[in-house]
Amino acid sequence: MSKTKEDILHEVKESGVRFIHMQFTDLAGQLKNVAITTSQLHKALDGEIMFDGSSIEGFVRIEESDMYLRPDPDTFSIFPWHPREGGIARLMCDVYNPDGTPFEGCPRSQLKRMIALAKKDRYTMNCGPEAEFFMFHTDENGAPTLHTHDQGGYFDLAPTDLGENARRDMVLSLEEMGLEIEASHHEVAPGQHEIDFKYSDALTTADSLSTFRFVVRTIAQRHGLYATFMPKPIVMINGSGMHTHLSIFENGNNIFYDPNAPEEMSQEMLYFIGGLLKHAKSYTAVTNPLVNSYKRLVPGYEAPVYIAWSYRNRSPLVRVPARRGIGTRVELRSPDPSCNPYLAFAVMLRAGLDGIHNKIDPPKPVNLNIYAMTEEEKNAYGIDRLPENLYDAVMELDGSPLIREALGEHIYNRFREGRIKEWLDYRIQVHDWEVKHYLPRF
Amino acid sequence: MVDNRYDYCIGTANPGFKKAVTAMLTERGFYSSGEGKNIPEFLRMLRLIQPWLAIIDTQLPPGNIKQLASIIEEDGLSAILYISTGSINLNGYMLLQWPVEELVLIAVAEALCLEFSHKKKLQQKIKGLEKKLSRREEIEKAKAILMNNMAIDEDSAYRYLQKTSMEHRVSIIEMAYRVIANPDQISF
Repeated sequence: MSKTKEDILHEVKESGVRFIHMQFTDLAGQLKNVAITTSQLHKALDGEIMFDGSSIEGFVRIEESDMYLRPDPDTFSIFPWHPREGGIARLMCDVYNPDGTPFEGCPRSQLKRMIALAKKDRYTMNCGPEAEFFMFHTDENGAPTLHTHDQGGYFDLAPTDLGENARRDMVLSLEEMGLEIEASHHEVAPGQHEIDFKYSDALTTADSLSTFRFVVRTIAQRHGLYATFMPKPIVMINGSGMHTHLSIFENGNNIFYDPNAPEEMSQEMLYFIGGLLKHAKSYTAVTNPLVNSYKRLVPGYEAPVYIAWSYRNRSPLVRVPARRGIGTRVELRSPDPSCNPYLAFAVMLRAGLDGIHNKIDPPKPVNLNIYAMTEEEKNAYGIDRLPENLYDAVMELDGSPLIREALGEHIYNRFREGRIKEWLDYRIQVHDWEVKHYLPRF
Repeated sequence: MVDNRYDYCIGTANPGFKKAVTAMLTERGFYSSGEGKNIPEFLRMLRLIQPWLAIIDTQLPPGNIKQLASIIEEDGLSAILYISTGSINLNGYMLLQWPVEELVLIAVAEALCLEFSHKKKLQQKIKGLEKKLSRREEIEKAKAILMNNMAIDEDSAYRYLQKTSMEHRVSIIEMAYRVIANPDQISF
């Protein structure tokens, strides 16, 4: 049931909340907030809180800087790590123009546009992300290091794992904030952890992910640790991905499930996979937006490199987990947790919908380890690969009217500008590897 | 040396300060169970050791001692004693000025540990009461569902919960959870 303005005012009064963080994300998915006191809450709930949009990366120029925040009452929740008296709550917001129209550069509003497009077919996309992250120690100046608690030296003999304790606190805090956590566990690499969400509609899940990253960082800091969602912080060690489970529901039924079809996978599900594969190269810049994202998408570390799908093995881009019935779903394995979740879900939804609308048949599933295949074998299966770096990924995005449409022209232009700027900045650097390999030889 | 059951962790990057404080506390039976030379390291130590008392040099790097204070306080990690080696205002926290007299340090440290012990007992009591209250709320919810579904009165709903919980060999609260999770189910 949706919360009303009165519900929130009542909850704030009962729980002794004194400050509200009106939250939204910039194009890079960084959480921003305008903090208000409860005396301004009436005004805030009526969408009358204004902020300077020109101060947010990728938003607007200085001459068009007045923006309004319109909170979504359903997203009200209280941060659990503050005392009840003087506590802090958050509301996720859409960004609006002064004339009352949704701001075309607001990622949350853009996802809503894609959700509305799916709604025309009575479809709802559910997402269940598995977000991985590392927890490192900080140095004496508080700067993050690559030293993990698992190799903590001093703490080696301790009976308690600091990371496990921090992760338990994270899960408890997230649950207190109303997020449903399906599982949480230590990951492959030292210091790496994973927290899985119970699936929900795309907007709720994107809100949850934004909150999740904030909560994880905050709790880690409270434990004297530093949490990072950087996709590949350490070379030669598994990076952090955000495998995302996707399904489409219509009137409460999972349309991916067809008990009479081969493998109990409906035709719509196959088309959805077809769309995800067809547009994979084009949306990778959005699901993997950093220079560093592409250091994760390399062979040998359980991250996908090739555009293919499979029932069983985990090397291709799309995997179909064994679960059937209401849990029938596809798992997109390329996204990483540095992405803007609103934009990432918008492009995934648009790609899958295109598959359904245009009846895009996926190629045959590849139930072999693609990393072990020869080039000839890959060619025989028609297996292409994901972009190898951010620049190539942006070029692929440029060539796709469909994914550009999923972002909207404003976001596409600003997003592209930001990504290319980052690439050019990276390209002119002289890296440690180059110094190490070339300096002694040339 | 006096026998004392309290341990402490010390947060300081100043070896002289550490040595002096440790000497005074050891003399009176407090025992040191860890140290941290910066805030993150000290927080990790506190979470790992869970000592009775955290003794913190207000110049512990890299700064933001007030945030450290609120984390320790909010998460109930230990009793906190700040010793100011510079000039800082920490409203609401026990703050002694360095250099400190041994008798004052010991008296304050013991009082803080005792107070923390009482606080812990009270917190446990509150937790127990909250749990009881929430169990009662859940049972009330389950009773209301049963009364509505089976058109029975309150007493009969409670007896039904008791009976079915015994039949299923689960606690009455577990049975209440099952009823709440399946509000449309007619019988259990």
